[in-house]
Parts: sequence; structure tokens; C-alpha cells
Amino acid sequence: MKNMIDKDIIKFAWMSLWRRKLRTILTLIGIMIGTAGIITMVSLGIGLEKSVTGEFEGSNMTSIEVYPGEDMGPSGAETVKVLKDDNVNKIKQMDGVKAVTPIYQTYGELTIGRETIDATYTGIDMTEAEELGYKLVDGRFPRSSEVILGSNLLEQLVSRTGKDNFLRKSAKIILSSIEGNVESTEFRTRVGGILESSGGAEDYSVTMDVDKLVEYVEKSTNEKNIIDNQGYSSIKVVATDMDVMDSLSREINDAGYMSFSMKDILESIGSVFKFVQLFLGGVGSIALVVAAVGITNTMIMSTYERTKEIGVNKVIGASIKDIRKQFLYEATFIGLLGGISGLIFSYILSMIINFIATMSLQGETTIKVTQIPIWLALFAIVFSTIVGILAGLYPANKAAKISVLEALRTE
Amino acid sequence: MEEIIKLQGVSQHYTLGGSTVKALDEVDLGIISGELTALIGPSGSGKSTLLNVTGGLIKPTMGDVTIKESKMTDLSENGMCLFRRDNIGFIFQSFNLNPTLTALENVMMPLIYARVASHKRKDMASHALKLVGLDDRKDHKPGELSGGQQQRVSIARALVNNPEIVLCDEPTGNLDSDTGREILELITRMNRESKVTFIIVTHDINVANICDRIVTLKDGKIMKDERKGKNE
Repeated sequence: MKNMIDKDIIKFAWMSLWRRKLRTILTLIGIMIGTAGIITMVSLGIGLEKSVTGEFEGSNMTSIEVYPGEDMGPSGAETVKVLKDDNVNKIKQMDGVKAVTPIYQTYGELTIGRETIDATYTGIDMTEAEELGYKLVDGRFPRSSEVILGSNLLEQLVSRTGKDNFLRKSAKIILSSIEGNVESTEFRTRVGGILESSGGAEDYSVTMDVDKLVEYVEKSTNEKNIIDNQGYSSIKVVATDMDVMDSLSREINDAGYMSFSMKDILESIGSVFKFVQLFLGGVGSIALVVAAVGITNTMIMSTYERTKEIGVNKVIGASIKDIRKQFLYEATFIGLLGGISGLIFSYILSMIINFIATMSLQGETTIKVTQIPIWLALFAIVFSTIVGILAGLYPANKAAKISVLEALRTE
Repeated sequence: MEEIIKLQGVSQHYTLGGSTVKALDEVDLGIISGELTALIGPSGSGKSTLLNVTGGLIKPTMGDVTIKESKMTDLSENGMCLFRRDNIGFIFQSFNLNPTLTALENVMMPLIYARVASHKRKDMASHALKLVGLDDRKDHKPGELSGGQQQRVSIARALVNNPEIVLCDEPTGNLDSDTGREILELITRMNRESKVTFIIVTHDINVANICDRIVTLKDGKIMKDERKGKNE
């Protein structure tokens, strides 16, 4: 019984909107633009987040970089100032550790044939290389003094020489002592392998065995025991799986180190982008608020215009609730239809933005600057409907309160 | 006989330009079920106000209106709407039909608000239109009907929900005399056949003369109250 009458009142609401098509459509366009504004803004935020975090997606999510601890006052365990071999061994004993390597980094140059390029030298424990997630496109992991080229370095060499086969070519490592007069020392080596591109720092590095690199650095600087004195640059830890990441990070920090994981970085990027999305969504909401005022305005006008009709309906049996409901349904329809058309509009807009982005970046793959996830689409429609209902509350109450006598007097 | 409508000490005051106007001044009136009553009087005598107070369209400043044992003056506005819906039909001078709906749809409106099941509505509305002699004009919109036909539609609308009371405000006021007479005949027939209580506000003495009872108002007071050939 109750549903039946609602069906009729919904029909009345629909009919009265249909009777004033142009005005309904104009009001609807406001909501459409508002909704499309919110969706487009938020989807831009989401697209940006995806494209930024996507950069890191290739990198190993289970890896943790360990640095010497920082003195943060008296609290906590004793901080580790220098990373030495026994630090590496201690970390290796921790739960959830799959592989560990000390990392020693220095800057220098690499000469192959007649070409010399700047390079970062990264020394790692080659026996652990595979476990650490290093992947080769060519060659093998060297055991001796051979080096592995990062993909970006290879690209530089290819573009300079026009050749592309550098595997097993002999090369020269050039390291300089920075103190005093700049003196370069050369070490003979060979390209043992080519590293697969990961999007990370490895692409720009010459990777080699850490002991060999340390030995070369000691020779070029005439220093002894640099690991005992200065320590390794960092320690790279790879966890067995994602689940142990948090506890492992905590354990490392508690032991007096400072650790960074890709997971931490992604999480902090994520929280930044949540804020960006909220901000952009807020900007879009302004348009929707303006549109809501438009609904209220249109419907107040409508109550004036339909005063007589409302009065007559009250005389022939419409209750106050019936009148209020009819107006609320009208506002709901405008909100709902505005939301749906806004969604369609923003899908089109999103396609155009992505098309332009792809064109202007001359990429072969489609770039998705904006993305509309299903939750955003649903949220937008629900939100615009609620906005419609809220905007209709005042006019609906106004209409319900119209005095029958006053209404009948208006001609 | 049973009084279906009872007005006791009903006053209606307006403030107009600082001075109080007494549209109704302590009126007592009882209407017997099935009566056809005319309210007459010069303009400004309060006859329309009396009708509106009776129909619950306005609440009187003082006094009580009791219809079928329910005190109208104690009801909330929404309660009044619901009571009106179930018990009272209205007929206006200016018909007040919805111009966008057909005759049938106009007649169906009170049934929709009264929550009558949708399959019954059409039959009830068609039947009401048949009673007023308009079953061949069902699908016409008010704009396509003559004044007399429009008033018939509004009579059908007032009667469709089988109210016990129908209040008419100058029902022939917008019609020529021939059409007016037809409408009056229709009203008297409805009154005789279905025992509906009618109150008609009019300034036309011809209208008043066909009624069972003529109540004359002046300055918000009942001046004369006569029943034709019947005992009190």
C-alpha cells in the first residue's frame, strides 16, 4: 500500500519535471558539471598517484636499505655508526631475511674502447646477487673483477658508439683520489653482464663485487682498511615476503640502524596523494555546491509557480507529507540524473585528457593520466543524489506549508 | 435528525489596516446529514469564510467546528488534510482542474492521494464521470472542454471518493444561466440519489431557491435560517 502511493508520487514528480523540460535540463547541467568536476579532479589525482607509484612498481617491494643510525638522544638502543662486516652478519641472522649484501658506492669513470662515461660504482656481494633480485639480460654474474653494466649506461654507450655489443669487452675502471691533487688510477676489467632495467639507481650504476671495489678504492686513495674506518655505504636487505617487512624494519631500527623500505616510501607517497585527491575533490565540490544552490533556486521558483496546483491538490486530498515528498523526489531526480550524466561526461573528458596526454608525450603506449575507479563512479552518483535531496529540502517544506486559501486565491 | 456538521460560536477575525474585521461573529449552525443548504448574503457577509472554516481550509479564531463527531479545530494541519481527503469534497467557482491532465486523470487524483489501489481507480473515476454525463469526454484535457463540462469534471472529482459532505463555492458563478441550471440539477440529483450533504455558497437567488434550506448571512452573523416545507 505504502509503496504504491510512492510510485504515484514519484510519477507526479517525474511528470512535473518533464512538463518543464528546458528548466529541468538547465538545472541538471549544473549538477552534471559539478559531478564531472569532482570526478575529473579526483581521477586526475588517482591517475597521478598511479603513474608515480607505478615508477616504483618494478622495484623490489621486499627490499630494505639500511644506513647507520642517527643519534636521536639517549632513548633506544646504541646506534650503529659504521657499517662493517659483522653488522652484515648480524642482520643476516634476523628473522625473515632472505638475502643481505653490504653496498659500497663510489664515483668514477668507465672507459670502453675510446669512450669514457661517468659512472657510479656499486659494490655488492656477488654471491647473493640473484637472491637480492638482480636480473641480467645478458652475460652472467661475475665472480672476479668483471663488472655489470646498468641499462642506462649501456644506452649511453650505444648512442655514442652506434655499436650495441659490449659483452665481454675489456674496459677500464678509473677512480680518482679526491683529496689533494686529483690522481686517477686505472684498473683493467671486462664487461661480464648487462643488468635488466629496473627503473632504479642500478640502471645508472656499474655493479661489481664489493671486495674488489673496496680493494681498488684503497689502492687509488692509498688508504688502508677503509671499511673498518668509514664502513660500507649501506646494507641492502631482502625479506622473505611482504608480511615480515614491518617487523623486520622494526627489528633493524631497534638494533640501532636507520632503515628505508620501498614500502615505506610508497606509503608516504600514498598519503600525499590522498591529500592531493581530497584537495582536488574539494575544488570540484565547489561547482556542485553552486549547482545545489541552482536546484534550490529553481524549485523555490517552482513552488511560486505551482502555488495554485499545490493548493488544489491539498484540497482534493494531498497531505502535507505527499506534497513534501513530491518536491523531494523532483530534487532527487535532478541530483541522480545530474550525477549520471556527470559521470558519462567525465568518462568522455577522461578519454580526451588521456588521448591528449598520450599524444603530447609521443608515447607508443596509452598513458592514463586520469582513472575513474568504480568506487569513485558510485560515490559521485550517491553524492550528487544526496546533494539533490538536501537542496530540495527547503523548497519541499516551503511547498508543503503553502496555505490552501492563499493558493486558491492566486489566479 | 443527526447533525453531521456543527459550528459552535465560530468567529473569524482579520486585521486589516490596523482595524479588526469580523468576517464571522459567533456563528452557531448545525447541518443535518443529507441536507442541501444554500449560504447566501451580500459580498463581505462572511459566507465564503463560513464555508472555508467548515471545510477546514482555515482555522477559526474562536469556536469549534465538529464534523461527524470529530472536532476539526483540534486537528493538526496534516490531520485536517487527511480528514478532508476522506470526508469532504470541494467544488470551486473556477473549477481548479489540472490543465495538464485528462478529465479521467483529474478525477483520479483524490483516489491516488487516498491510497486507493491502482486497478480500482480507473473504474471509480470512470463511474464518477458517467454519473455527471461525461463518459465520452474522459480523455479530453480541461482546455478542450466547455465551462459546464469542466465543472462536471470537478463535481465528479469531488464525489469520486464518496465523501459525505460536498462544499461548493459559487459553483455556477463562471457559467451562463443555462449551463448553471444544468449543474444545479446535477447537484440536486446527487443530493437526492446519494444522500450527500451539500453546502452551496451563492449570491444567485435561483440557486438558493432549489435548496432545502437557505441560510442568510450579514456582517458575519446569521440573519435568517429557513427550511422549505420541512420541519425543524
